[in-house]
Amino acid sequence: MTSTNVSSKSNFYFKSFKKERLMLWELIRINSKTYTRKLISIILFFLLWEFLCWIDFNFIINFVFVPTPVEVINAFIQFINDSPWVHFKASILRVIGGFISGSILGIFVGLLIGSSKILEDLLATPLELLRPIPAVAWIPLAILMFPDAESGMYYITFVGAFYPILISTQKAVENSLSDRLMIRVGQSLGANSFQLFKDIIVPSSLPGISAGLVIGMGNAWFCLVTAEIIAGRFGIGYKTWESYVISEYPPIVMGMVLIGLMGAFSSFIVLKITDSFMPWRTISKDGI
Amino acid sequence: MNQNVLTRTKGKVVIDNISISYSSRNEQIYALKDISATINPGEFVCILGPSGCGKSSLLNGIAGFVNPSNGKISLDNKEINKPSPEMGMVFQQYSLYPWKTVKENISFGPSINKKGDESPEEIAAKFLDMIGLSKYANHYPNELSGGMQQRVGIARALANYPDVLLMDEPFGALDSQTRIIMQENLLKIWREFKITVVFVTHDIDEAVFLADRILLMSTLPGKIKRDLKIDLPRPRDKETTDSKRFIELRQICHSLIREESIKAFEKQNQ
Repeated sequence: MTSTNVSSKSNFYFKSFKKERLMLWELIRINSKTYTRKLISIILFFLLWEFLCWIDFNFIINFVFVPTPVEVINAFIQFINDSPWVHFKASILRVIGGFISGSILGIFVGLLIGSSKILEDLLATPLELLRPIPAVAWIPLAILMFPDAESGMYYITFVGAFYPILISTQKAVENSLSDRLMIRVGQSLGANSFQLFKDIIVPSSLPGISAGLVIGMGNAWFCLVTAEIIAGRFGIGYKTWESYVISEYPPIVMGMVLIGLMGAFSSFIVLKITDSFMPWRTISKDGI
Repeated sequence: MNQNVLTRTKGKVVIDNISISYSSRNEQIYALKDISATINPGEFVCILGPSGCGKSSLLNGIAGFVNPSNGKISLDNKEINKPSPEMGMVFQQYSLYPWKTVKENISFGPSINKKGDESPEEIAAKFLDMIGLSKYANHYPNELSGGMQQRVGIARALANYPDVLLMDEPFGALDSQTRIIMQENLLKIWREFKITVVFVTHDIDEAVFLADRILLMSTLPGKIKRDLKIDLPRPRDKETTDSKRFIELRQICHSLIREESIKAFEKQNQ
């Protein structure tokens, strides 16, 4: 889409005025060039992959043991025929659980340490010390600290989602606070600290928080394979890990592709939802 | 609040021997030194001076954003030490909240200082009508032109029914045609509300056209060099700017400002 002006009552710009009256097929026709280009890029990607496998490419990177796209598709068909929904359901729940708890806590703590020096001094250092620890390193503790494997897995996806959301929120709030004009306007209109926070700091931090949520959602998927190492039975990540353990290569790549697809899709959903909270933004990338 | 408008006893600003300083690289620099002035209720005062003379500092002091290092500023015998809704401020840059619609921008002040029996929505509708932008009530600021945004900025400042309207070069970013229309509209609004206006500008024509009184400022440190009464008849319009008296007054300001600009320029080069 060329224009993302979402103001529904707007007839100020011709573009958005027109957009309200477009039928679906018209939208597809208008955007068909973009869709065609995107489709071609995907086809080229798979052709290149197939080609590299076919010639047994082996220069620095070794493609000899890499399954071809066709083998991966076969693995997928086999997976679909073999009750895949328990795996999907388990993984999606773990990601959503980790993401939602990470969002709530990340935004809440981010708003606090972004706006208060005292709370930043009290909280930021331990959080910062825990941040670089990779998800994989949490596995032993997750097993020891949590009552069952399931909550340990929620914890690992939570860690993945929490930090990008926390840092983005904190930085977005600090950035809003540095805009002295916006704060002065509020003060001169009679707003107290709470009203300044609620009506000015939070809305102007939304674009930054939104970026954190999108990255956080991606990271939750990122940590899924790690989390599901301790799963034992179900999950896309578990399936991927299990295939690696038993040296069955096509399902590994299938797992990777599935996680990639679901991660991209859920990030897209998060992006759309957060965009709907910011209808004031007009973003045009056609010539900056 | 409407009785204030009728009786016109509120909105007296007394600046009592104030200095405003800030420290820069371990050096105390005075933006303003020993300034005194009285601005009467309902008066339109322009603060005129070359850039860097501290006129914005003075306005920020009156608004309560900056506290003077000594002396005091008071509004109706009450010392000002923080911003308050009794004083509306219109800023130089477009300062509307981009995440609020035009209507929400105007009703923000009334919604947090509930007083009187008009609802914030009614106030917003009334002021939108006054500035002629009712059609754009539900638009976001970035869909409006600069002139329209600044009209909304003025309406937002007035929506709290302040006693004093402070304006910091509000038309500086507008093209000259729009600026003239905005000036005429501002005078119309001022006549209607009869509130005190303190208007900061570096544009001589603008100051002479708008003001009852011009406080001409000198530079480094900022002082009031001349308190000039503008005795042009009101209402003022296009004809005013062609009158002999207008040209005379402009000439007076011009020569005073020129002296100061040269002085400031040389000081910066030292």
